[in-house]
Amino acid sequence: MNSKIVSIKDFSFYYGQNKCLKNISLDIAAREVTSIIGPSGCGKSTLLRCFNRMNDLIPNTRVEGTIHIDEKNIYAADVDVVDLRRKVGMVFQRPNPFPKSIFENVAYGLRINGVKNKEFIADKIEKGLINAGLWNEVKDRLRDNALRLSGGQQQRLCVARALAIEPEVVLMDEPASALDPIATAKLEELIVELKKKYTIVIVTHNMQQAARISDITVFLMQGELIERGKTSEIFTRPSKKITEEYITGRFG
Amino acid sequence: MNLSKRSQKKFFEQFFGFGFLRLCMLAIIVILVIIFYDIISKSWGVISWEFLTQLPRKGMTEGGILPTIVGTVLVTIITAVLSVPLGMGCAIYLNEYAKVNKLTRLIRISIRNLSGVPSIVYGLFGVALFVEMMHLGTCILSSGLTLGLMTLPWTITASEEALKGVPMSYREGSLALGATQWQTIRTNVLPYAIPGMLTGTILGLARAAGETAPILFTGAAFSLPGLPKSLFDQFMAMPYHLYIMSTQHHAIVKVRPIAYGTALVLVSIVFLMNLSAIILRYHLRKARQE
Repeated sequence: MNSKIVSIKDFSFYYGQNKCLKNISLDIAAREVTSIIGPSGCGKSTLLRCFNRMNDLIPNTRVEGTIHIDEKNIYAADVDVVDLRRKVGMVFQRPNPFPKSIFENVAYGLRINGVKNKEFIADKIEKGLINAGLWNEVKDRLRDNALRLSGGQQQRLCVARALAIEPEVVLMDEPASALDPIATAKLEELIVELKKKYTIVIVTHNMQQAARISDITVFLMQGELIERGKTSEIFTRPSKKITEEYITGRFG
Repeated sequence: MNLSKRSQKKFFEQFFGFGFLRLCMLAIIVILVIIFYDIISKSWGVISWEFLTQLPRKGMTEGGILPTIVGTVLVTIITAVLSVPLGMGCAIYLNEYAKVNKLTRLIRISIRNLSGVPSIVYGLFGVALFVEMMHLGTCILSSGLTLGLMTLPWTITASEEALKGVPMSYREGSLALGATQWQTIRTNVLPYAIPGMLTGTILGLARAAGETAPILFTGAAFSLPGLPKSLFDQFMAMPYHLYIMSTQHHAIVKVRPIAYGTALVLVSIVFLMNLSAIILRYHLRKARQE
């Protein structure tokens, strides 16, 4: 029913001589939540960080195969990585607000993209914070340093920061791993809400979380894509034995 | 019984352990106090407004040390003009842009080693490069540039450490929002590294201000009738003046108070520079946390 926005074909990622991702092929549909699960070190974060080429920052790495986003191969020679990252936002494992005011954190993406209009910025910030479910908590103290927020609020601020420049895809790398259960619940509600407008790919360690929030689940192990399917099916009748063993907690 | 014995043993270990560390600290404080007491007590008589604002008179046996203060300040300014932008730029390139490979590792090691090269070597290099090859002659400019070269490894290393202190997540967060690398550095790395960069730089400059060897052959003069009129004039400098007054002067006992006075002024200027580094860092850090 949904058109695919990300299309990965025969994609491999090397760290030095080590092949971390092995010939992965995968489509990701627009306006759905796709979760990537798998044991530690299986390459799920590496895969996620290929979608906005954050792995470019790591020396001594190379890729094979293609990732198309909006039908454009993001690893093609003529691709502007800066443009790509504007289109593919990211929320990191640990909340990483900048040591600036709450306002300036959300405004950052707009300012570096050359937006000067103050009303426009203020409007975007309000919308971003509302979308991230943070507006009511911070509207009276937008000038406070973002580092004074709680961990959960910081993470939702990072979501607001990513949303302010209106990306098409939002990547989340274990966004709740540093949060307490209540903050996690809020973040999960937010993710479900966000899929109305955005395509979301989330890496998570927490299988219940994947089951609760995602439409599609992808299971990776040792750099290989083992299974991809509707979340309801993966968690009730996985087609591979090893997937069943992982989600029932027999290893990992 | 056994337990109390063990806790008694721990108590003594702790007592002597801390005692030893305290002693180390005390020894350093005692040495510092002795030096300061010696300088201050022997220079107290000569320190006055006139001492700071007048030219030397009667073969430097009377009068003030104004030319040496002016000379040292001017040379330090030239030093800063050369080493601050160049050092910070080099550090930014090394830490943010340069790939980690054998070449950059070699460059880093060389820079660290340069900071250990004796200052007299820099002095001779300064003569060869600035005075002779570039025909600048012995002057403020040559000395300042020589000291600038000497300070560069310090500035680079301090700036690089400050940049390393900025968490990787600030850079990643900014890049992930579609910032270019330069935008990221300018808006999300430098603001948080500048306090540390400035502190390290000022400490380097303070050290340069007290150096004698690099200015000895490149521009510092024994005695001059007036203040320098341009950067291409020779100059008098506090550390060199101090050296002359305590070893070369014809009336060495008579000018001893002047030598001590010079020492006090020099130490005070260095102290003030270090203090300003601390105050600057404090204010920049505070501004960042608001």
